[in-house]
Amino acid sequence: MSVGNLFDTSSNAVDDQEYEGAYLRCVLFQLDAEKYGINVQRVREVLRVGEIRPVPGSPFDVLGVINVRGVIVTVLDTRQFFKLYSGPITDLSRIIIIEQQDQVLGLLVDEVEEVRDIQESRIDSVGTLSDDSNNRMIQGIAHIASEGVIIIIEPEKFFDGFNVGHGVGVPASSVIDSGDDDLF
Amino acid sequence: MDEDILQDFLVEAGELYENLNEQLVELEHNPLDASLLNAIFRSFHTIKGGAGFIGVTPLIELCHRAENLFDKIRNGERQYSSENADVILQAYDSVGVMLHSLQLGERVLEDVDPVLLAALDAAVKGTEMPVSAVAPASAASVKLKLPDGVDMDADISDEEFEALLNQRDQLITHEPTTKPVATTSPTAVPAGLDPDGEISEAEFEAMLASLNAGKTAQESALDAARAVGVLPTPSAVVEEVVAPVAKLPAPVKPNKLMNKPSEEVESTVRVDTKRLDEIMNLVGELVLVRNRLLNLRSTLQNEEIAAAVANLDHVTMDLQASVMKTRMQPVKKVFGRFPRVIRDLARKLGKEIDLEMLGEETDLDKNLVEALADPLVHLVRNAVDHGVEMPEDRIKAGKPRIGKLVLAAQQEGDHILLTITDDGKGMDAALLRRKAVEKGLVDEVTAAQLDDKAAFDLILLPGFSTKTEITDVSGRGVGMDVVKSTITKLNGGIDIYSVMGEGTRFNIRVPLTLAILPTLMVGIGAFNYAIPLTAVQEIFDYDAAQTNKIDGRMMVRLRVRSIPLYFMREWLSPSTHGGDLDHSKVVIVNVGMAVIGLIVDHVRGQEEVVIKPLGTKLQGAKGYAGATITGDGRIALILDLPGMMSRF
Repeated sequence: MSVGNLFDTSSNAVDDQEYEGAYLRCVLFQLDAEKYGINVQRVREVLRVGEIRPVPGSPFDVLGVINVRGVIVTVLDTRQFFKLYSGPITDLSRIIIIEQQDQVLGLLVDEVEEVRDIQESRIDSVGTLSDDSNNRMIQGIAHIASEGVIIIIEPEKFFDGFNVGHGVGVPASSVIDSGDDDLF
Repeated sequence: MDEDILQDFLVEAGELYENLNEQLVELEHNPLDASLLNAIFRSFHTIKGGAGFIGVTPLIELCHRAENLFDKIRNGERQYSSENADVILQAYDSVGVMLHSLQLGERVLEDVDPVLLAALDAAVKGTEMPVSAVAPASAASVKLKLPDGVDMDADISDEEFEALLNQRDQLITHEPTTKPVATTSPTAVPAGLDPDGEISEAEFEAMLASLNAGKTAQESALDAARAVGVLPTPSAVVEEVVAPVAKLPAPVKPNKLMNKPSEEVESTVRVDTKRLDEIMNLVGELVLVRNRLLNLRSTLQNEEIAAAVANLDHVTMDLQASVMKTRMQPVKKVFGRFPRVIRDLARKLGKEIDLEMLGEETDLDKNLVEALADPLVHLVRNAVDHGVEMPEDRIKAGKPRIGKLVLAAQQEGDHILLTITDDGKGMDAALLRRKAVEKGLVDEVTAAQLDDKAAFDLILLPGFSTKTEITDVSGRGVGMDVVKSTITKLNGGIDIYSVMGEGTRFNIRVPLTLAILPTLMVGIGAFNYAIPLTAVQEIFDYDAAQTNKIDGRMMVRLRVRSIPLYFMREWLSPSTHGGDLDHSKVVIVNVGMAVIGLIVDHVRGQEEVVIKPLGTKLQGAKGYAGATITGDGRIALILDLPGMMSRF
């Protein structure tokens, strides 16, 4: 299930106002009361929520792992990043799979709406309102007349920091996936 | 320097380098083996060619000399004497060092030790070792360097490269050549005539100019004139130009022609192991889909579907086997380095040792091959150092003067058995017991109870070393326990057999592949966990009557022992306390040297699983070796017992 199949990007893709200049194509999703956008280039796919397998002892923002066609993918409780209470998983809940180089991550969101082009000129930097950690997740804010505010997030930040919550172990699997070929 | 080309070069040179190791040691036994000499000559030649292509001057210097020496040897002009062998092996080692630094990302290498170059030159000339200081000095001053402004990526043909090097050699040695015209001319000819020659005349000219810098002004002027003029002004030059052209196709130097890559038939393809892992992964998925279809088949009761699924079943099985095979490499990859290790060590210690290798063609997983290399080297060094006696002692003991070491590999079902056997003095169980007590590793009572076999296992304990003096060969006491832990990590085992005066044998058993792990699947709460089967000792029903609380810790009585219990439910979700343990099971496992009991809710049975890394942010999570996908498509976490213990 790819984004291309999921959303009809031809209609609705352009903001209703007159259109000029560079734009950012975003996947829009809902989290609690707010609307968020994430650069579509960083999104690999959007999945329905199946079974999320919890991993005891994992960092607090990790919900667990899922099986995406044989690959184990970590799913984050996205609400935690924006200091929101965890919400229930509903029929509308989705997992957005984002990627960065070789890494992939799943973001649990309340609802995925559409793919939308947002004029870059409409995106304002949030500046230094505060140096909260969740502030660093935010790339900017777009004000759209018809529907208010869209918070544009930076997917890179999800991959950053607090990787291992409890020390660095050397699992036996590290032997498996080392592709290094030391000849000498 | 083009990185892609460099990487290709490193892979190719690395393989040649590995083969050379074995060939060089073998050559010492058969110094007149022509095909071996040719092979060695070609290897140095090929490495030189590649080094020239990427412009690593020190490597060229070295390989060129080694190649020259072997050219003389195979033509019978020189002998592969043990002096020459020492020089060559030294050269070989510095080739290794250079390749290694290139691999580590260094791009500017240090010059070769001039003493080594001089020794090589001397060997080529057939004079005794440290010749006049003239040779190294000039070797250092006249470097084969591509002049500035020359495109490093430009192709230069083999012939041109050879000619440049030969020309340089003449400059260095100042030996009057019998036919100076014939030797210099090939440099000029290919520029215009060689089909591979993409080098421009201007570049070539510049190159020659730099080479000729060592010559007198008149000479270089003449050379420049020659170079510029593929132009046939003086009649003498015309002859030069024509003569080598006629020569080239003739089999004057067949070795050089054979060496052209274009004439080798390629039957292999290099594939990134990551890609193989991907394929393995997908095949694993296919197996799961097949399993689901097999389940459906029995419920649907449709004959046509049943036939198709049966077919799919077979194809999937074959596919899985074939993909596994692509990851396999012969044990030879590890064994190959031992002849040299043993030769060097035996020479240093003054021992005489014959090495026999059996079952080198046995295949095992590529990752295993790499992981086993260090432990095996350690065991082999130990066998040479501690096992085999000095020749005099052997004769006194009524044994043949030359010691024997046998390295063998064979497949045993789904395992590989590696054995290292020596006919040395064997291990003294009584001495081992005493040493272990002295070092405080075990108490006296325990030591006395150990049978001989268990006493041999004492050497696998951390901090055990029977050698009182530390040598640079072995005997620092940090080896055997590392060997043991490495092999344990590979889900393998090690057994030691020894008879005083007759020798020692190490048996190492490792699984054929690391990709598939036999596990015991257990249920804790609503979820499944996999425990590596090699650790599991036994399983029994939990019975509260058999437990005691000793010093604040729950223990279970098992025959004559009390074993600490770990309640997995509490570890996995600390909030759940106690609860109903009526139908729980106790799984007794080995963790390192300790034995513990894990309390789990269900035991689901034995299952072979494909290990998958946990996702981003969880890769270092303690207590897990990874995850796997079970037959029903759900995820089970694979427990890493030592990691888990440290978190408890």
